[in-house]
Amino acid sequence: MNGAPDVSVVISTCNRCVSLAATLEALRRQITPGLDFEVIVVDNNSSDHTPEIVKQFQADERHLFRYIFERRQGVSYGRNAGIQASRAPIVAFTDDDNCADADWVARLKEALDRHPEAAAVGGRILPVWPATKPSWLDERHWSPLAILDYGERPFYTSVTDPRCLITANLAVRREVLRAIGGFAPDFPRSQDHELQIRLWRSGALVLYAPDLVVRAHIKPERLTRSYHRAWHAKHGYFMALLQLQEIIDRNGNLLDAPADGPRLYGSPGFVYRQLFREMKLWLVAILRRQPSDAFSHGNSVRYLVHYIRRRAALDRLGSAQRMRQVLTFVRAHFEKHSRPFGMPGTRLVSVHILIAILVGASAYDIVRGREHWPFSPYAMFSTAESEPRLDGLRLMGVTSETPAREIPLLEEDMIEPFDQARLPSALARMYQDPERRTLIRQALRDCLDRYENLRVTGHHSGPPLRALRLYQAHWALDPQGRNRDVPDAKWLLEEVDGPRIVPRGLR
Amino acid sequence: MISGLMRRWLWFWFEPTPPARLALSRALFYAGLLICYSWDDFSAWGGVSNEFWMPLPLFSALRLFPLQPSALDVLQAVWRIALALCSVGLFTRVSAIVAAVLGFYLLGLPHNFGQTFHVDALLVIAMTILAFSRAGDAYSIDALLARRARHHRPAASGEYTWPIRMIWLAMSLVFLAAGIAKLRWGGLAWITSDNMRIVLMRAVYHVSDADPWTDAGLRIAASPWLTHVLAGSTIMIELAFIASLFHPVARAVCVPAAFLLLVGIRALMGPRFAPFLVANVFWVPWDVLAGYALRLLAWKRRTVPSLLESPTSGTPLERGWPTASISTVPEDEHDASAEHRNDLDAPQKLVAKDFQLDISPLNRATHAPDFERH
Repeated sequence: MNGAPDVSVVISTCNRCVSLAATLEALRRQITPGLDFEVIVVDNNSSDHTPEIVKQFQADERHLFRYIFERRQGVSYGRNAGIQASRAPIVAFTDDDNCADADWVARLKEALDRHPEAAAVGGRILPVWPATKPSWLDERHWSPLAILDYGERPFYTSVTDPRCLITANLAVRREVLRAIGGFAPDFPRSQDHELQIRLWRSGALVLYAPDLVVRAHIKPERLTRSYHRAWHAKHGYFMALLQLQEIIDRNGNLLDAPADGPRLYGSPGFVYRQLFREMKLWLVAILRRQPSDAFSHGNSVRYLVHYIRRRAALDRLGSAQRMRQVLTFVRAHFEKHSRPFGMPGTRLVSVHILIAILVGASAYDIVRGREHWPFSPYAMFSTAESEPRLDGLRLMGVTSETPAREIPLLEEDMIEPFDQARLPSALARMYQDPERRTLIRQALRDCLDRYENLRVTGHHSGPPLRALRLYQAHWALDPQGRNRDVPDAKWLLEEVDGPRIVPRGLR
Repeated sequence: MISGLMRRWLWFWFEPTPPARLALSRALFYAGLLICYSWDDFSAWGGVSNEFWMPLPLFSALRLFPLQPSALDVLQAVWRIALALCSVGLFTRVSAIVAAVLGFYLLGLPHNFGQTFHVDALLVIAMTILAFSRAGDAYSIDALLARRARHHRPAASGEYTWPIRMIWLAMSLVFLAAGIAKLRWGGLAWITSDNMRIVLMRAVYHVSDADPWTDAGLRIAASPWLTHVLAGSTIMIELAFIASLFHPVARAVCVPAAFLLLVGIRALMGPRFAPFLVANVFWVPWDVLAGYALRLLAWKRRTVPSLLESPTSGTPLERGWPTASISTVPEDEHDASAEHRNDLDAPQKLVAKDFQLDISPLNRATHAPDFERH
């Protein structure tokens, strides 16, 4: 082979010398009438027998097998080194665990010759299953296995149909690669997707040719659910770098840049909506006992969660900026929803804050059983009474007449502004609190003064009192309530005497 | 599902409605409060000795304390004026804010003296909600003035829905909390044990802020099964009340039931719930009732005028009454009013006014033949 070949096939490999041998064998058996092609194996820091394997194939005289060593770890570095070393106008890529069909090189050359408008061509990657294939593994779960089959009809992928072709079966014109600048080393995964996005954005068309076939030997360890779960999580992580969810519009077109708009932790609202939708579908599938659907939606949830997490990590903001971002997001969200209701979004936000306060405070009090007037657990009369008796405090006035008699202080105008329940409750609370108990005499004095003051000013017609007594009283409840005014037993707790007549309102 | 729930949620709170219902509820609510609290003297709390001062958490946090009686006198006067202004709808927004702020202080003040009652808590919440609302956009002096200045009526909006819904929610939470507390602290024994019997008997021993209206509670207490039914119904109403938020049938059942429950508690056990009951005005579709009333009025005006008017007081049309209507007038008076119905202008005026037909020259040709045949 003297001149430049027609096609350069680049394979980046790392410690897969066994499968690489099969890949190279498939390339050696290519039927390429009148075609020259070279195979560039880029050893990306392999520590196995990769160089020896390649050396074996270099003995072949029909095709040129080249060996290149790339120290920088990563498939993008490896492929870029291959591109750098390539001499053909067409650079084809395949992976070290795939085997191309015998006419693969010939067909990709033919496709690009017949379609000069295409910047690249890709094809199907069909699976070679190991002995057993799990039942849940249908076509929806092919992406993690790097299998691709868009059907029997060729089409162009472009900004209006940005379906990704996999680099395991992709050929790109060298001039195009030079123009757009190879694979991005920032993407240890999904670098093919990133490259194609640049291709599409530059206006290039990428041809999907279904007759261009490579076969992927599916490893048994890739047939486990845990592998798929981990793959989707990582995929979400790398797609977040591409902002893939945001650069495809609702019609499926590729945008030049993510649309401007409010974001919450780096992701726009519709990503969260997608997440909620997938969560719902996941739950529905679980409830309907559709394990394959459930697994598929579960993986989508994983993908979106990691997408959002990564976007949040990339979206580094200070706390003030973050707060502003959250408020803007919430306001924009409500603005959108408020239109049908004839209200500005800010009103929707403020009403929701009110609702949150109302529900939050009420729920807190209900759960904790605490009183925060005007919110309350409303626990009065909530215990189940079992004893037909009543114990409580009762305030009795001692009249000045001779002989003195005791009258219950129940009338509201006598104990204003208290009422018959409030005053004993207040006194009981003071009495039960050791710190306040010392104040109870002063409080009773106040009640006596108030009574006399109200009597003198004509607010009530009760008899003059010379003393006030606070009793602990006990009643055995009578079905007719006959003893309601006379306790069955009572114990004197405190007594004050000698009322002072003071002007009303003096404290 | 999420978007469906979201849509339902927003529709529940912000369904566009005309301002009438909120406005009429506002007028009645504030008028009700004014009546309920006309005789309450909050200034007396300013004279209670410091030994009784045991502030509520919110009063403590806001460092609120009882003012002197004279200052409280002024505050309660301002509050009552604000309530009155809110009711008639003059300076509604400012008045509502003043009513809410002073209402919080004045209604909360008595609860800082050792015993917290809950009868007015809902009112404070409702006043706060109304202070944020546009409740004065109709049936108010403000609305009249605005219409005169701007010549337009406010359109249906979610602004007139959410305050009502939020007060509904606040009330539902009150009942729900009460129901949950009974089951939590009392358990099923609250219903199945002698609990209700004991509670009814205790009520006559002056344990509540007021004595029961009647001793009927003692007679009910004598019947164990009746007390169980009463207790069960109480918890059922309290727990089911929250369904009133979502379904009109539940609303039609639970709201009157809860109203009767509170009246029953007042009658048999003593606690005064009158101010709390005022908040029920927000459950009543006043705009629908007003519509019925207006239709009834219009119907009566069509049928009754010939009864009321004297032959010399002018034709019904001069008084704005339609003439071609079914009459319930007695035979002898019917004849007397019949003369006035022979007015040639009457039928056209009736058609134009009552049935909103288009009688422009273009359309007249199509309507006229029919009209003449009739």
